[in-house]
Amino acid sequence: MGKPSDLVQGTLDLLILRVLSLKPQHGWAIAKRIQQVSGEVLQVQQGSLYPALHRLEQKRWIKSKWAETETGREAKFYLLTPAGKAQLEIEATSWNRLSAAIKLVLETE
Amino acid sequence: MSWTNGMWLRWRSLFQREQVSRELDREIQFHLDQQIAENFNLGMSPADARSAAMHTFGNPTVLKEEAREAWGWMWLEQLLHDVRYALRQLRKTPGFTVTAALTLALGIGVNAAIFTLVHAVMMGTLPLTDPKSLIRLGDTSDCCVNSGTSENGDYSLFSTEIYQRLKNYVPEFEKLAAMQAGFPFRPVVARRDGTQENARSVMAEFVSGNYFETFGLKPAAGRLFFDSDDVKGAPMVAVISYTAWKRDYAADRSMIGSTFWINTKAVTLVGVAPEGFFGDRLSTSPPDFYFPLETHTVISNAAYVHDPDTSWLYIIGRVKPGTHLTPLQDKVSSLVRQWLKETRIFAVEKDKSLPEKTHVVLTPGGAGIQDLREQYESNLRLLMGASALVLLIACANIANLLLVRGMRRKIEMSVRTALGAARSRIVRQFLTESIVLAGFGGIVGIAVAYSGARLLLRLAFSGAPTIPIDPRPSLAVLGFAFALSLLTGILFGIAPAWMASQTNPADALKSGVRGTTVGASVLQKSLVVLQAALSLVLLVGAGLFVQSMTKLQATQLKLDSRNRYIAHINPQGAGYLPHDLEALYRTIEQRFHELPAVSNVGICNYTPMEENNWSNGVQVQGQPYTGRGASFIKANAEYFDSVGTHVVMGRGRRILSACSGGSQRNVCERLSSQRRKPAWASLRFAESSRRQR
Repeated sequence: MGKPSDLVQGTLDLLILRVLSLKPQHGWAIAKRIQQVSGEVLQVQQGSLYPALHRLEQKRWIKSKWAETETGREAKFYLLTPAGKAQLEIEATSWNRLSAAIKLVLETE
Repeated sequence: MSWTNGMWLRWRSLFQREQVSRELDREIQFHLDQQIAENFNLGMSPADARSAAMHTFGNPTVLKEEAREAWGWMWLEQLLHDVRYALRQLRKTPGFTVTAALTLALGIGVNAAIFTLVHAVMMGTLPLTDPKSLIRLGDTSDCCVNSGTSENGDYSLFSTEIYQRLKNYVPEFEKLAAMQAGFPFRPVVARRDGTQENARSVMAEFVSGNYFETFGLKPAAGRLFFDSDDVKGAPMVAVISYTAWKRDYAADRSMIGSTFWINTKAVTLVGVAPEGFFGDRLSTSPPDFYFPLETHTVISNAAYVHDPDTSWLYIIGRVKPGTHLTPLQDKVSSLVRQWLKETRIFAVEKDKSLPEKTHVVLTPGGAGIQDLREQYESNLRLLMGASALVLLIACANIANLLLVRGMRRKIEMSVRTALGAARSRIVRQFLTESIVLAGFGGIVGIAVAYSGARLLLRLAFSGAPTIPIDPRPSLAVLGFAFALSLLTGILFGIAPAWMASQTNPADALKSGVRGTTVGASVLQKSLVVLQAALSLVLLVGAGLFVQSMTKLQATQLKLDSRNRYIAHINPQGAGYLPHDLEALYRTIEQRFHELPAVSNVGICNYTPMEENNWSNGVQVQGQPYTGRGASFIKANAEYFDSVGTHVVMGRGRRILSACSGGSQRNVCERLSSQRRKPAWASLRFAESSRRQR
């Protein structure tokens, strides 16, 4: 599978930021969480999470550190930065507006 | 461990690439392990758990590549790759590489060498504090002691009186310094007291008490001048240049406070000027000593220091921040005009429009008195033009070489295009190769520049004890050379790269032989034509140079330099007074004649072809003064024979004056043709005199 399309990529960023806004997580937990919360509808290819995470870190919307999990293994955890929080709000707003607009189009006879 | 942010990641991904890659591996491994464990817990076999985890994850290699791309150093990786590939290609063809690099090195080196000179002479500033706020009053290299008027009213040379008045009346100048204009023509004789050293003739400049302060200079040792040193009756003091201090006295600090005999007068050395300060102008003979203006009267027996009719000073000032130069120039001009009107020379001046024409032009003073610049500017421009042509030829030559090479690599390019290499990538590849080549040329070129600049400086300053220009290329020159090589690389990289990108892989692979496209041959031909045309221009230029040179060498100056030697004698420096001179000259003649090898002894104030000369207004007795001027040489009876020339009419013995010098000679000849009988003795020299170079 190649690069996710722009739409998917943008959506993935939004989803990651949303998941991280609750608490710091490592990559696998983020993937699981997205699957669970979306009711298994959003089947993101798990691997594409990592380029996205590194991209977000580069944009300084998230930060990372290595820490122990409950099972005692070392994992890389990600945390939302204040800039990331602001970005989440912007993206969520625009997503809501877009989906509302699409909904309106679809519902109009 | 604390949270790391993007900046840190970016930094580490460049400098700790391996480690960051390993971390990414670990991160992904953790993910897979978690997924495998979960699958296993759901009841899968270990093998199934693994393959299912891999399936949901995707291709780790591709994803890692994508993550790496997110770090943002992909371009650097590609660049390094391109450079490595270019180096490999260049190593494969050493003959081509060496030829191309040397051609470029020559082109770039010559340009950088000349730029070093241009930079020093035309753009250079003295090593001073804030050179931009230094302003010179005047724009000509008028010299040296002048008691006439300026013909076009443009003043650059001033009297002590005008200098002192300007200092008081123009508060726009924070500091205003004055310096002797003609010091290169008036060396002093110096000897350190209490030592066995011989008296030496050295360059010395008389400067105002605030001279060093105006330039913002700090002493290397001891102190520099104060205003109180430049007062009548103050103890006579001197500052030595750093170069002379180091060269002649091994930078001995204990000599501060010691006495020097300057023109037989005792002077106390108070300090050393800072390193790198070669005086207020770029000169082949920078001053070894500095003395206060006031001491000029005693040391050089100069009667004109306080004469309001004699101009002998250049003036440089430091303006206060935010001063506008145009109103300042008007103010200075009108003040100088007003004060000059009060002088005697203006009162007797025939040209009544002169007072109105009188003005002073303010010029940047950060580079000092730019007489060297005035002398060499056009020559340097010519040199720069010629060297630019050489570089152009070198570029055309190399472009051609690369083009041919590009043709030969057509099949390689076709294969690469067929394998899916993007055109842009191939163009970039070619450009990288050219730039790497140009870089080599640039590096070798800097070596050429250094030795070339040294050679040029030695030619320009032949015989000078110290060369005030550093031949080491400065940052600006390095930048210039680098920019030049880069530009060259891009220039001659574009054509072959463009040709390569036009390659149709199928055609090239089908024919299987190297073919020439029409575009290439036209381009090649025009490059050859360009090269030939530029070479022709250079050859014609060189031919003209050689011809001028031969002509100059063959010029009949009515002089004979064979078996003739010049000795400069400074009687004043040895303490002789004007009334001693007649006897001294006779002694010199007599002593030289006692040597059996000497046949003639000519004594004159300026030797033939020497730069300096002295001119006065001339009036024939019994006729009205016409304002005509003539330069003259004071000489003894044997002068004409000793320089290998003769007198056209009349007799040459016992004459007191002779005419010489370019346009001035015409005056003499005209004078003598007007009078059938040359009547030298009856010429009267007008009172206003003018000494110039």
